[in-house]
Amino acid sequence: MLRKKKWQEAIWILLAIVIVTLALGPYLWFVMISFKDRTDILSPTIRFLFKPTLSNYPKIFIDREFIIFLKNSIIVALGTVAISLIVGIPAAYSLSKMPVVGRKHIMFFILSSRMAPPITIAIPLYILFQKIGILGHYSAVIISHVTFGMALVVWLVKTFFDDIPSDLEDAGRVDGCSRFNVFRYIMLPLALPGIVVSALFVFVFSWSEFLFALILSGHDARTMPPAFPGLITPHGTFWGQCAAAATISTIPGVLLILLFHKYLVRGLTFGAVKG
Amino acid sequence: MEVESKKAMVWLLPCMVLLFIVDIIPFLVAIGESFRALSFTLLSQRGQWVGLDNYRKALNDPVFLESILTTFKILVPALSIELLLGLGIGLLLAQFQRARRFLMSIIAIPMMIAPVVIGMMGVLALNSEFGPIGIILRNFNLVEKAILGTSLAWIAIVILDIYQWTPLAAIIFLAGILAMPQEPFEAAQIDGASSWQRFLFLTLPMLKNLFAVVLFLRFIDAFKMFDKIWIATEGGPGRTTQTVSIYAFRHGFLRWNLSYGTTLALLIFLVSFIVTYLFVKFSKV
Amino acid sequence: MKRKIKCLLIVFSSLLIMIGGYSYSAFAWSLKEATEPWRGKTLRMIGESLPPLQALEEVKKEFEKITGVKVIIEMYGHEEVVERTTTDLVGKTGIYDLLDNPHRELGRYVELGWIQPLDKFVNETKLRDPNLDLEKGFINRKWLYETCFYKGKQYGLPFHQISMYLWYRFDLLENPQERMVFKAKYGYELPSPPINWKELRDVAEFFTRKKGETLAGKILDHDFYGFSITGKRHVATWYSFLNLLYSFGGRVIDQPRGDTKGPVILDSPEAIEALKYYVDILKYCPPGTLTYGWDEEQAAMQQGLVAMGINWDDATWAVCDPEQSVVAGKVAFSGVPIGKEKIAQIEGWTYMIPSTSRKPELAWLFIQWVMHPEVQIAQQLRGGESAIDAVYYDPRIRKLPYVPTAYYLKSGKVIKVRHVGDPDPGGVPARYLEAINPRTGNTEVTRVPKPTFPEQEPITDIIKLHVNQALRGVMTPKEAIDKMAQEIRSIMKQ
Repeated sequence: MLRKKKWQEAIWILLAIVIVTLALGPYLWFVMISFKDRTDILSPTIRFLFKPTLSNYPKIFIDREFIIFLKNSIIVALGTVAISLIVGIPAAYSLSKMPVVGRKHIMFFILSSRMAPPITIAIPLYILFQKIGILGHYSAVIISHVTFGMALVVWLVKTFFDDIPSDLEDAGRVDGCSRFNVFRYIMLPLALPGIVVSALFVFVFSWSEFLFALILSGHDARTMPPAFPGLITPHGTFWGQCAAAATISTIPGVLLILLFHKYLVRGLTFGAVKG
Repeated sequence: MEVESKKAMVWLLPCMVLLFIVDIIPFLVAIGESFRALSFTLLSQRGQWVGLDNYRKALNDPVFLESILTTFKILVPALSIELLLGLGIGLLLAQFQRARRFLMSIIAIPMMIAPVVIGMMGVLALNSEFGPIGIILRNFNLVEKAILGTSLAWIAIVILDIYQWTPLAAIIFLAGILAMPQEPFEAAQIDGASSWQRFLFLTLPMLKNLFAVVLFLRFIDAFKMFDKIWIATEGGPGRTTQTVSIYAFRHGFLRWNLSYGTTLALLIFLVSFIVTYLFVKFSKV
Repeated sequence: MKRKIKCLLIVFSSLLIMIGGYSYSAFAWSLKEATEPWRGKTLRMIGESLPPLQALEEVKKEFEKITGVKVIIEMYGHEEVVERTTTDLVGKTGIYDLLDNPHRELGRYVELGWIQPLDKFVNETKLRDPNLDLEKGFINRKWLYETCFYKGKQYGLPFHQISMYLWYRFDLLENPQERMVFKAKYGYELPSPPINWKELRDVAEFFTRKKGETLAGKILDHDFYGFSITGKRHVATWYSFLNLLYSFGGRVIDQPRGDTKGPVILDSPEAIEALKYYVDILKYCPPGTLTYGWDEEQAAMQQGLVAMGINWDDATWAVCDPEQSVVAGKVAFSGVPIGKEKIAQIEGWTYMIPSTSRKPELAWLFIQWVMHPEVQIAQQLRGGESAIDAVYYDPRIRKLPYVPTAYYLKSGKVIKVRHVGDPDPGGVPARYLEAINPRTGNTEVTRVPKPTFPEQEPITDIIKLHVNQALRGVMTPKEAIDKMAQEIRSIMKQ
């Protein structure tokens, strides 16, 4: 980017190490727990040596069926992301670049869908979905997550659209592109970092959402988060199993970041396009 | 202009329809519920019309008002640290090119863990007998008892929230920084602006909108923060960590006073609405 | 001559068996036939993700094999079960054919018409397995009544019947050296186990030691505490408080049975005493007690951090399991110490059939099958506490060290007595067995119900908050008790 002095670079690296340690430390501690027996997990003295065990993994994923919940979580999260983007991006675009009557109010209305605590609409939604006949299916959970995800997409992506100068769009129109083509070939690529980021967060939100997933999912579409409290029992909390599930549950999200990271960098070409 | 605005409606339509079905209808049902008295434990309340009674009760409920304060007590430090730290990390990550992909995925890990599990991690780590942090704190005589059992428990919740959600701010800011046009920076450098000046007069103003958006989104989510507190403390010890969401849940889903719980939830919505509205108004996004 | 008699006996008895067998095959009821209409259908139930329910998840395959019915058991955490159940019953979806819920939800579900009485199944010969005695087959009628009946009607069968009792490290309490020191210090023999609250406090105080001091001849590498109890703002703390309250002679509501409402009598001197004791005993508990729920309290015992604790009998298997516990084999079991009463609190989860169930008969047939001793034994070996008496005659069950005490508290029957100095942890401690219940004047245990009427949930919530407030010293015990009584009264009035 810019020329940097050596010592400056050293500071950056040092800071990065600190940040990585802070983010990774607690997680690695929990990952270790997934390889421990209860007696080692709850040891009253801090010990670094322990007899590793793999038994927590089959116990949680097979015996407690977390493998199914994991699959459900992936389906629900990806479904939520897809629908949120399909519905949210055009909305964001029109709100940013088209003369919408009452833009501010609509924006705010969309945002307000995120404001109510889930318990406000959980039971009405349960009864509504029961009437439509989708209760307990993936679609029930996905739809409930989309209303939240969409707000995120609209707001984030709109700020990215806003930053794209209008003359760029006008130039496209003058060249004879249809509105859709301008959107498709000029605007979308430019807003890609925003889209990728918002998709990531919709994924994260859906991945960890608890109450709707608990109430609306039933057995067939049950995701992971509502299954975790089941590990806290009067017979003790099954920490090892919880850690095993938590360890695996972070992998899809991290994979997504690794896969889609390059789209974030696209933004760097912005300046060139503008010129 | 008329035609254009109609066209815009087409782009907006799917979004609006979805919101209408999944949000507005249940929301109206909820509002209707708040004018009734319905409870599954107090059986004299069988859904009869009571007008504004629930609202009157809520506004005179000192525990509810206290829980609003508790929410802000947790939310304000959590959000300020998350945003500042997130901005710092975003700027930091922008300095790396090849390592960024790797760094980003590591930093994002806490976000991928369900809040319920974050709460459980907190409970275990801070336990004064079995948790590493708890044991260390006690060995150095920093706390006499387990922190989640004292009136400082809210600090633990703040830290858990920071741990989980700083990555969100960091990654949004990173995307924002990466999406910035380069010319102003190059021009400024040619003009001899220091890197501090470039940050202050170029980066920050350009991130202003994004900053506001992250703030809204985090505020709205944090205001109804529930899962991790419920798992970690259930609002305890006493009422130390009883946020509005915990209190509304307690009435709605634990004591099964559905109408009152819904009323509280609607009031939470209202507070969130007003605060966000003021933000939006003054930040001119 | 002798041989002849023997031969005759054999012939005679085989004849008897043949007749019996004949009659059995001719008129016998069979599960296969009874469930015929539902072959190929699905039965869906919800319950708490406890090891015994996981055991059922495995054993149910037998039922599926016989009947051709698919059984789906959904398992959630304690609160999540109630939340999902209520949402489902409000929505009248009929998704669940069978519920496994805490018995104290009975009142709410019955009064709202959400679950159905079982008498129509019990009295229907086509649906009734004659080999199962649903009258006398249970360990305790009162317990059954409290957990499965409401206002005289049966609404369920027990998933388990559990209570809380005293866990104590008999290897420490019966260590000769410790006993000597104790006698010198307190002027009486170290009671093993303590059977009243004064003894408990003395023993707890005696065993509370710092890192570096010796305990039973060994130098401690961590602090050691006399007692453990839950203190978090959590339902666990409410259960702990009830043990104290009941034993001190107090009650929340003046009620002969859980389903009858009565005046609130919580603000009694006994209740204040009980809470005061609760607050005082914290001195001898781990410093983290105010964050303790079930898991932490159990872990404190499993890790060898404490000498005693009052905890659930069905959770005991985890303390006796060497894979989870460093003190396996060193813990023995006694009743809750005696104050003005010798008590055991009645608790249990119950199978209930929702009114919206689309296959109530099938649900009934399934729980009836679950009540069979073989199924119950499979569950009990994984930490269940069966309500079926026959289970306790099985040698595998009798061998479990905690069974004699747990069984005694519920049934009053004694499998085995444990004397001070016995190397084996199993058996009802002789001291406790012989201790007089001041309320009745004999040695019998009073089994105390808890409210099951609809308002019990808010009452529980009020109590757990204020007990927690008293424990952390924000309120005095008297203030807390008065506040609780006042709030409960205002709820009962509504």
